[in-house]
Amino acid sequence: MNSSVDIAVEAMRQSNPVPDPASLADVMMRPEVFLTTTKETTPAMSTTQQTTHPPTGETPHRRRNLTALVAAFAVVLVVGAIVALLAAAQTQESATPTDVTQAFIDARNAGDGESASAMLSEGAKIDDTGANTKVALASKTEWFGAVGWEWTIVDCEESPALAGTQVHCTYAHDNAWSRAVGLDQVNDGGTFTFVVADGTINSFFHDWQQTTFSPAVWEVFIPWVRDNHADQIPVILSDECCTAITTAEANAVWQELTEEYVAEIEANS
Amino acid sequence: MAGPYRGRETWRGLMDPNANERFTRLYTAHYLAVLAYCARRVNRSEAEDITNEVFAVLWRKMDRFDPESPLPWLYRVALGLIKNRRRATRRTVALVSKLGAVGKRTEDAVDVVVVRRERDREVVDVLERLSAPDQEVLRLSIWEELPAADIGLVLGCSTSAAEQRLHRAKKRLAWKLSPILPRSSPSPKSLEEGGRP
Repeated sequence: MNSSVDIAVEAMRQSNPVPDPASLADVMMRPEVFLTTTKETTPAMSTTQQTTHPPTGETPHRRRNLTALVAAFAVVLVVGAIVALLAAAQTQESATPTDVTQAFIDARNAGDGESASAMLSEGAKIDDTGANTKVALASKTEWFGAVGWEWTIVDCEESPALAGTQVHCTYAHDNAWSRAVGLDQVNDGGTFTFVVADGTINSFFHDWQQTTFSPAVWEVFIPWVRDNHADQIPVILSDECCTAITTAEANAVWQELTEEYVAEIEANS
Repeated sequence: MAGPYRGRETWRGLMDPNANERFTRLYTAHYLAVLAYCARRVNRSEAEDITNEVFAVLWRKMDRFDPESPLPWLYRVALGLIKNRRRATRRTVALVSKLGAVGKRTEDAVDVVVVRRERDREVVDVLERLSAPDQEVLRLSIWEELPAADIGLVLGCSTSAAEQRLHRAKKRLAWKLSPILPRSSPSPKSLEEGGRP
């Protein structure tokens, strides 16, 4: 029978708003018409590469209409390109420190350690639940992804700092274990504090509060692993209770155990 | 369902010393796929504009364009253009909001027009509540039917990273959709063991 993931994937497949690209064929210009308009607006190619307009067999009247259409399209294309270029330039200038930190959180939520780490400067000061280097943060981010951790920013406040702008954010969070037992995202007072300069994060401090969340999930999941896969405890924990190993190999085991745990709860609830 | 994926095999067969001819073949082979890609993410009018921009970019780069897989390259260009437009739209909405008016996302229109069933609408709503990276990797895999290697080319990451992102995004999609979809069947192992942890 299908898993919940298979069902979700199939539901998304069925919701494809354009299941058949051929249904859009009515708007497709002939390539020679497209080329004509494009060459008029982008004369960057060498002249030897440009061809004369191919014979179309169209009447002069139709050709005039076509020329008018082509001219109108060319104007739209040029204006559109200028607007897009201006927008891109403006975006680069206007990315706020909070935008930068949100991009970091997005990468973190995606479990993309490589991207999250790349947003930090070389030598950045890092303190993220035991991770103090970019490499450690990357593997910790992958671990967060393996157990389905997600952070939703509640509020961020910017203030001047010595070396840039400080961004202090409160958040709510959950993970696969908490969702499995039906807990909503919790806002337990944890915060992220960044210092951002020139679009780069120069420091990242995670104030991790465990008063609510940990008892609810960690202290349920780990005993479940002990009961069902005791042999895996040394693979995923570096001590008896509390410190996760976050190597790629260990993260794969974390992910497998989490999936089994979640499936079992789902099946029995 | 989408047509068969034809990205990887096309480019080598299209090699031709004549740029016009090469462009024409690429345009003919991939225009509708790129248009569909755009129409799955923005409204129809914007999709047409962006698709034309994509092929204008392709034409400008024809003299130095030689990727193994042209379709992921074209998708990557389209993704960049869509992101630029969304940023511009967000700024416009923010400005309108500051002025006291209420902005409406341009993406809404396409869904209203093309989503055929209520559950599809709900699924798309849930999809849009995922993070942008999750949405994109899911669309590339499920709607564009790209293999992981080509998803990596579009997103600028390795194949294994694309696989991992996709795996996690599917899990998150399943979680978000669980309230509106039928429950999965329990595995035999779970039934045997029984009980909550």
